[in-house]
Amino acid sequence: MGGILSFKKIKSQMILWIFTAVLLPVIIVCTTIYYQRVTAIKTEAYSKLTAIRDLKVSQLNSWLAERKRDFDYISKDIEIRNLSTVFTHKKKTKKDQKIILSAENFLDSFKKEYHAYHEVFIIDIATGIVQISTNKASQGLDASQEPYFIEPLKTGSFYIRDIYYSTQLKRPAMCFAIPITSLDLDGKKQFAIMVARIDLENSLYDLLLQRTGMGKTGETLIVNKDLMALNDLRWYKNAPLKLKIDAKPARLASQGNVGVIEALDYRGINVLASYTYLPETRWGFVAKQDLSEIYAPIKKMLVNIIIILLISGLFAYVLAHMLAINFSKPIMEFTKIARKIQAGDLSARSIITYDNEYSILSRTFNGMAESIEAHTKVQKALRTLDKILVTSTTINDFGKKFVEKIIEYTGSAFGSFYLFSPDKKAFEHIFSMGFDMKRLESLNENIIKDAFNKAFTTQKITYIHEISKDTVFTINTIAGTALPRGMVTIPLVIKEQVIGVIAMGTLANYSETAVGILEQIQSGAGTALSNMISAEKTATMAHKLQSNNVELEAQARQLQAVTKNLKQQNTKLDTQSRQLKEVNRLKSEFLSNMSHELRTPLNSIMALSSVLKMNSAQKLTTEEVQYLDVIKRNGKRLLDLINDILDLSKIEAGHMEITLSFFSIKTTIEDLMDSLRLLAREKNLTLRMEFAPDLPKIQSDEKRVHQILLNLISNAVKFTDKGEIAVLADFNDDKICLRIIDTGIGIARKDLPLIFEEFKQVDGSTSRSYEGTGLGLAIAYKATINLGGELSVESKIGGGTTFTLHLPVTWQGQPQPIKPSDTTQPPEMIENRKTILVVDDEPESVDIICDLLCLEGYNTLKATSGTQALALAKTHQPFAVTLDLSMPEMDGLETLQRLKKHPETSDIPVIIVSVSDDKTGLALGAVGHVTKPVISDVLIKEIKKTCVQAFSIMVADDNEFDRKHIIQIITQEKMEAIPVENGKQCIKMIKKKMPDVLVLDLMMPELDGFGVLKTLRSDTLTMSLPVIMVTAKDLTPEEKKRLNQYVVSVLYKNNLTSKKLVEKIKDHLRGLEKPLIPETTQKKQKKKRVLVVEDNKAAIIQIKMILEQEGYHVDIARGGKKAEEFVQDIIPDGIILDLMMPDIDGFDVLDNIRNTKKTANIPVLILTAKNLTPDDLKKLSANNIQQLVQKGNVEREDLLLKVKIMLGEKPKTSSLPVEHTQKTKKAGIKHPKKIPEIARLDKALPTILVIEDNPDNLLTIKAVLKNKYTIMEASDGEKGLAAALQSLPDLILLDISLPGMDGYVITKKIKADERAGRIPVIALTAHAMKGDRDKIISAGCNDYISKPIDPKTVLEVIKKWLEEKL
Amino acid sequence: MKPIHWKIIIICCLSTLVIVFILPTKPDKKTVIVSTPNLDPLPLYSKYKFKKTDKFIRIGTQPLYMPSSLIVEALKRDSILKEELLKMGLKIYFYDFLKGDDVNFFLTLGDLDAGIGGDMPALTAASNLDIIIPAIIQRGFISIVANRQMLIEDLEGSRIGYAFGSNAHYALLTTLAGAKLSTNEVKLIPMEVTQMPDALYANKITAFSAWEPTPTIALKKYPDTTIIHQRLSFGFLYFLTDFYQRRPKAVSQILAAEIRAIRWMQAARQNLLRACRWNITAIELAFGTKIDLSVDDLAAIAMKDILGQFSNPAIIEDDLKEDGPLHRELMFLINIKKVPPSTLWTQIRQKFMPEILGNVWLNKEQFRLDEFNYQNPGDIQ
Repeated sequence: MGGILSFKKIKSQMILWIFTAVLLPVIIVCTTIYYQRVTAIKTEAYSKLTAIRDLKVSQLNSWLAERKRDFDYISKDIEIRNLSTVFTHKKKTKKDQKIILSAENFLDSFKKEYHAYHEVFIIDIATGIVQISTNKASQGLDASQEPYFIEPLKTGSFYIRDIYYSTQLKRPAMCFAIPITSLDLDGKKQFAIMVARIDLENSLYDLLLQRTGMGKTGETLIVNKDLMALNDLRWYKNAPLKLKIDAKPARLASQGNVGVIEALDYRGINVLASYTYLPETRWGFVAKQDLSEIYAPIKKMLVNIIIILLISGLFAYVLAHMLAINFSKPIMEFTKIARKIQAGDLSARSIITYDNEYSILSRTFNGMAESIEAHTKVQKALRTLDKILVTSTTINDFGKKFVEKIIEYTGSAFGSFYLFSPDKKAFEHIFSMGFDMKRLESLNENIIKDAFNKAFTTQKITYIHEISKDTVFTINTIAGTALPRGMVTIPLVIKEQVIGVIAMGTLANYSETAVGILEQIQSGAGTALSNMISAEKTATMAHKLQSNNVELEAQARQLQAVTKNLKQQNTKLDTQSRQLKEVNRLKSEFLSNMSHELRTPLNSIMALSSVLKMNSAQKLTTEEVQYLDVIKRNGKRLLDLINDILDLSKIEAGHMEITLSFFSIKTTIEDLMDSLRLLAREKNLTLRMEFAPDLPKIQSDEKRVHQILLNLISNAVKFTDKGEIAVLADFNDDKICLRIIDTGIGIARKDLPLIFEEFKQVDGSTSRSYEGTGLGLAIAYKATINLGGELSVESKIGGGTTFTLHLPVTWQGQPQPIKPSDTTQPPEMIENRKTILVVDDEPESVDIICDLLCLEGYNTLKATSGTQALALAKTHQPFAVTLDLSMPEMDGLETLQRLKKHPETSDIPVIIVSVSDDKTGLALGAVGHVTKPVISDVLIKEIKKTCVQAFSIMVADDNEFDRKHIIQIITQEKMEAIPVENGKQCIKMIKKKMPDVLVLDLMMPELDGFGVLKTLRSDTLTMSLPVIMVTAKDLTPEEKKRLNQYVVSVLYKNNLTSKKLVEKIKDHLRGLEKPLIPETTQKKQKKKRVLVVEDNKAAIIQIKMILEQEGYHVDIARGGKKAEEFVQDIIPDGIILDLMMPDIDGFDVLDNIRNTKKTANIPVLILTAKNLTPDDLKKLSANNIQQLVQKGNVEREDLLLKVKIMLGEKPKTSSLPVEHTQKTKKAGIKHPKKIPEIARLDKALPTILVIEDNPDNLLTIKAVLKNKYTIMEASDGEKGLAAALQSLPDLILLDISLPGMDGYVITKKIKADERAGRIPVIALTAHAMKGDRDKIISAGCNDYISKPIDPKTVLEVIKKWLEEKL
Repeated sequence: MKPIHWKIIIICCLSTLVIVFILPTKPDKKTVIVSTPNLDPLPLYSKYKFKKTDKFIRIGTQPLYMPSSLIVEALKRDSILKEELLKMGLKIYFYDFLKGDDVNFFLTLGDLDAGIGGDMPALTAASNLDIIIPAIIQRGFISIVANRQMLIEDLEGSRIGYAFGSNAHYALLTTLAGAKLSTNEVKLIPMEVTQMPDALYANKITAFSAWEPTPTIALKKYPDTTIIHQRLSFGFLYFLTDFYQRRPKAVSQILAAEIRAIRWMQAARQNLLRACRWNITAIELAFGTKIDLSVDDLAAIAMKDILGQFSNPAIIEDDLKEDGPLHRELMFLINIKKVPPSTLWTQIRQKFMPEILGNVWLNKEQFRLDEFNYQNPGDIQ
């Protein structure tokens, strides 16, 4: 136990606990008794004081009640009540005197009956004068202001006046008063107040001064509400009404409390007080007694208890001390002995002889000491022996030292050590001491075995006590040879094998200590011996190892030399590998760059040729149009080639993206076959498909599989001239097997290994008959490998070809991760602008479109690939996307599909921007299509037209129901509705924000619809705001007329349908575009609006394009009816009107326009192909038509000139000269058509033979030479040769790669001809690699022109050779 | 961290949450509690259909508030009062409530025109409502009853039952303060007065503070119990000012009836006993339980309190003085946030109008103070 209860000595601790154990119960008992007694005394005191208090209060109340009863009795006495008649008489009659006397006597007798009544008197209510009194001196006094008069008079009941100082009595007194009622009026009339003054000395105070049971210090006291003492006190003389008792009991009592409390009294002494409140008199009453007196018995008891405790404590201490000494003395003895042993005196022993447990402890203690002594000896011996074991270096040394020491410690007479020799399988003597060595020499192996047999068998120490006299183990002493009395054999054992033996002998018996040493030494000695044997063996082995190491070191040196060589080789290999990788990378990069560099101009060529064809189709001759077709077609071919190269390079570089999906291979094949069916039909080939039943869907890259099969099947079609193409599909467990079998030309066996190599065609000669890049099969092969499949071919010349494609049903490889988009260009976004994503693989196109869009107030994002576009669309959620169709990797349609497929991007409107007219995009979900070249207005209009815009429609109607109804219709159409409740608010709101359309109620308070319209139309800013009037009023014709001047439609509320309203609103919104640039700017740049009324689509496009390019806003009405509807809502700045239309012809339209007031003055330009009759001209003239454009021969400048004149604009100077225009106008003739250049050429032109198999190239060359030379053409080598030899042209342009007979052969043959040999042959070839030119010239060609064709170069070279010829 | 630590943390968190949600939140000291809980759902009050017309006088009474309840029972049967009110076109209705706070709640709702309550409810009503207080109707003792004889100091650490905001609450706290015991040194248990005797007997509480007849019931039912302290307390009859302004004569007639009732019961013990019987019946009718006191017990209480002490229910001017008993009680109500802290005694003092009763005294004959006619009650709700 710690802390204050921890002692150094058990004795002290025992004294404490025994003392505590004895004293504690005594303390508890005494304390309990004390508290019980205190509680009892207190309770008794409380009860006694409370009883006294209640008794006194009861006496006090009884006293008051008696006074009350007395008064009640007197007040009702007839003697007294008779006074009522007396008091009313001013002059007292005898009778009155008699009654008064009688009453006085009555009061006197009453006073005498109770000595406390000092005076009793009666006051006349009417006067307040004391009429009768037991004290004659009081009669006639005015008491009208006394409370004893006023209070009972007020309440009509008994009244007690609190204790007061009476001047009559010269001491405290009380008053009682009661009204007296007369005998008449049913005794209800009060006529007097009877009052009695009480002398407290002889009444109330007597009660209070009785202090029975309150001891020597107890007393009772009463206080009034002001805490003034009202009675005499034990400790304070003359207290009544003089002493203020501000003690707690009195205060509590006066405040209305009842209870018992220990507190200070007015003397400042602690008292026990029982207090109460007397409501009727409002007195506080206290009965109290000094606490010292109450607690006196408690003090006495406390002294007794303390004495008892002291005696008990003393007794307890003595007892504890004695017990502690008895307990601690033996312990101290044991401590002494233990300290001796601790100091090294192992012989110290206890001599305690108590006849109790201490005696047992003493014996046990001595035994323990002896045991410790013996153990110590053994340990000492063992430590010495251990030292020997550790320090011995050889077995002999060990044996000697060990035997010597063990003899010493065990008191043996002799000792001998034998070691077992495994080689000899016998014990060898190592060392002996004390033996008769002569006898020992005679020992043989058998004797030793016999001697140690038991020890061998048991492997334990063996003791022999009965030694035979003939033992060899005798001991040499000075006195002679002695026999041992006891012998011990110690086998040294390791791993259950006896490896040595020690034999000991003694002349006396072995002591326990000796036995202990021997027992404990056995295992240690065995281990030490074993270690020593092992060490000797190890030393031997180490020696051997050292010699082996020398040999190994020599070998290691040789290996190091070899390793060094290998490292050098590896370094070289690494370098080569890196170089190879770099070469491969450079190759892929080169291919990629080249493809890109090739495609960029190529796309421009294709795009521009398409644009050229589209824009200028009318101007070009059929031939020129064909040129454009050739440009486009060849561009497409070249593009395909480039795409193939890029594709291949990607596959080779391991960048092939694999997009996995489950798809039906059957469907893929069927689709492919369908697409090739037309081509096959042209070649009269049969297409056949065979599918195994239950052909499973496969998981692979559908696009790649499609590509592979397309290459294979289209290849088959290409190289097959007759017969059939069959595609057979089968499957085994995990693979689909597809065989594409054709009956085509076949492949020679030697060429089969080459066909899957890129740029290798079997027909790789310059005279090949089949087009193609030679990449298709290579791509198919490598893509197959990447998809985990196999592609093989079997063929023979003329025997057709079979391609076998194996594809895994489930792709096993890891899909290659798609590289993150590298186009994270931080878009420079302007707030509050919509963002459009521009997707085009040509950066120039992207830049052009972006610039256009920026000018129109859009933010733009750029993407040059489908992948990039998808990423940007997901990230930025653009407002719209413009998408090119022709893109490498992922084309526009695929990009579109992916955009629409993904939930995050599916809602983004996509507008196709392409050179192609292909409308597939619209079918796939695009919302618009714009053809390249991009015209700003067209693109913007398309974006605005197709993309949902929130038009704002203001609804002005004072009728809440109607207003809400219209707003609901508008909001359902996703348009913004701006509600206004009256005309004034409408005008105010329009000034703040101009709506697109105003739906206006006619009848409104304050400012009606007419007023609103008038205001709007008088302001230039709001003049043109479309207004749809909605009214419940039946309009008079005059009102209608008025309205028609200002509004675009009038709808009636009684038959207003949502459809009708929406239709009207949309009619006005049609063509109306939300301004994306500030309104003010827009106003400044407001375009003139021209309505083209035409049913011919071509004419519409032509005119629209010309006018829009010039900056006009063009509306189209396809027919007269549409035109009439249009002008009802929108008044254009001018109209171009076709006369011949199917529904209503132009004349009728013109009439209607002119007959309507608001359209009567619209300028109209007539567009017609009709030969106008004089009547027609008259009609036109009557309708104020002065401008005509002849259809089918619309010249841009002419049209623009006439439009400008029609619109009252100043013609541009670049337009046709006025003179010319005027002449034309006056002549009324068409602008003369340009004379074709060819017409002006001399017919005797040099003849040039063009030998070219490619029709496009042929056409191109012809185009170059057209009108300059007479052209002959030949589409293959043989024909060309024949033409050259027969026709002998002035010059031959010769393609080198020709089917059948190539250019080299032709040249040789021509040059070999006598006549034709002089003709200059100019090679025109795409073989533009290093060495090609020399090869061609050396073949006999006069000159060399590489493709692509540069017309200027061609003409110069031709000119040079013709001049030379001439 | 070992899983056991997580368990300990989780248990601690849950315990904290339980403590936070279960333990009642102490009201913000700045908040003044002036609202009264909705008492409509109480079965006793839900049956009341308060006559909300100008032709009825609706008075909230407390049958368990002795001995004022005897006066009320007499009022219910006072034919003179009925007659005088009928002359004015009025009828009077009495509605029984458990305590003064409940009376105040329905006064607030406008369901009552007048009420009877102890000084605490009366002062609360004076603080929160526009009322006049013309007369006292009770002057009796609040008793602290304990399960054994002891000093107030000995209540330290004890559980004490009380009715919040009542006279008994005030008496208890004042007494404890007098013994230098704070509310932290005892455990105050709010409860209804009807539960207190049994709770004391079952040792759920060591003492309780209540007005009559609860202490008497406890003493009679469980003789080991004892009153260790008593404190004088008042009860008042108060009217909504609006009612008084509309019907001043009716108020005077009711005060006259109160004087008559006191006089009538003082006139003969038989009258007193009769009133006690009416009171017992009223308690049974109102609360459905029999009171554990005899008619004589009630009479004794009545005699000990108001009837034995005075016959004039006038408010004594001394009690209305600054720092007088009523002022001190108002301060107490402010301290316990029963009334707004901004309440001024001068404002409250103006609502005590003893002159109305004085006027009745001056016109004894007009108000027929000496006539008695008690018949069966009519139209008691």
